[in-house]
Amino acid sequence: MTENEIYDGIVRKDNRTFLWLYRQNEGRILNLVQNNNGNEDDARDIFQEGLVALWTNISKGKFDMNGQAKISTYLFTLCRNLWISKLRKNKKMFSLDDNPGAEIADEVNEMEEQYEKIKSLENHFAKLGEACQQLLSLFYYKKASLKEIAEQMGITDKTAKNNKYRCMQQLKELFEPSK
Amino acid sequence: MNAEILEYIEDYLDNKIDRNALEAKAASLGVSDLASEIEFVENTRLAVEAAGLRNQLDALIPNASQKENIRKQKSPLKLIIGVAASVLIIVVGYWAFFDSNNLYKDYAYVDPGLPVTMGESENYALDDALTYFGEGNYKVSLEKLLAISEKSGSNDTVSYFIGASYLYENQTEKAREYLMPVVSDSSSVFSQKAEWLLVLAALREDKMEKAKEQASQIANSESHAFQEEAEKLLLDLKGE
Repeated sequence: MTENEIYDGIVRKDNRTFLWLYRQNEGRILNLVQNNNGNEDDARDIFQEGLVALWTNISKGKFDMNGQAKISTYLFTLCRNLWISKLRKNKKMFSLDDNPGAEIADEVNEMEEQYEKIKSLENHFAKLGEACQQLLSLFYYKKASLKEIAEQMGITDKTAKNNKYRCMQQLKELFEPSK
Repeated sequence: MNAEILEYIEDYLDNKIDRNALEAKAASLGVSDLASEIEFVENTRLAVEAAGLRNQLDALIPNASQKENIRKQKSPLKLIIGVAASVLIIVVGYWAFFDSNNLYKDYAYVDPGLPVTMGESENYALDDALTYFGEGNYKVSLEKLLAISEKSGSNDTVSYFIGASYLYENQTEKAREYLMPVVSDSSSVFSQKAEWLLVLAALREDKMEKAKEQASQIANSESHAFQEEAEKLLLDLKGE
């Protein structure tokens, strides 16, 4: 896949692009994690984290397609840093000599910061009631219209609109004390 | 944040109104900290999408890994079984070679599905169904595609993927029912693929004459995407 195809695939959340990236990076990430207190499941989790972090930055316009390295290198470096952060949080030692993304360290650090903000909000989103999570997910993730949401949830269009606002308010109230 | 400003902020983030228009609305509604309101809405949209993406990847990656593991795992016992199986294949090679199910496997075309465009398409029900199709979960893709077909009627895309799902679920009669109209629609981008899937359906049903007939039509069509496969299949079928 070309860099442009990978970039477009990530923007579109295209499964085939994700699988391609997974297969390209699976071995490297597995080595990295297994050699540093982790197992296969940890490697898969950290790949997913890295991918969500990369998607977040691309969506926020914080990723420069004409940057210094390939998208795969950014992804691997993000995964590496996220794994280091996780080890630090768990107070485990690590010895990661392999750092192919040293030249993009500053950019990746910024990407991590952006991701942490979104992740914090995502954690609060998970605390909302099931109906709110479903409604917001249908609207923002599935891009369903309020009419489609109303149909699926068995409510009127107007209720769907009002509920969406209420759910946003609830999320804001959950999120703001932690700011 | 009130409901009205939320709508305006969403319009601004969707490039439906410009910053000046938003600021004017915010001023008229008495919104004091517009920048932080915009940041909250923008980040919320991303956070909800990120949560959905995480679920999407949860469903996708374990599947990939399981498939890989099946391919990679070779215990000593499996190796012995493998060697024994190879010997068996040599012994019954001739018959096995021409067995229709083997031919089905040899010529199987597993459609990877359309690129799933969640997040952009308004037709999220189809995206949803095709996500399952792309993952090889044909049972679920079938349920979802049939629901779409019932609700909104079938177009060539829906019919093709229903037919393909049925074939991969080994329900060839049903597969044929949905694939044939797609073949007839020469303007459909799925027409040639559907034609090849009909050949596979015939192989799966052990209907060798039918498979030959359909493969011949493809082999005689120079611009057909499956012409080469059809020619090879015909050679294999001739030796039968």
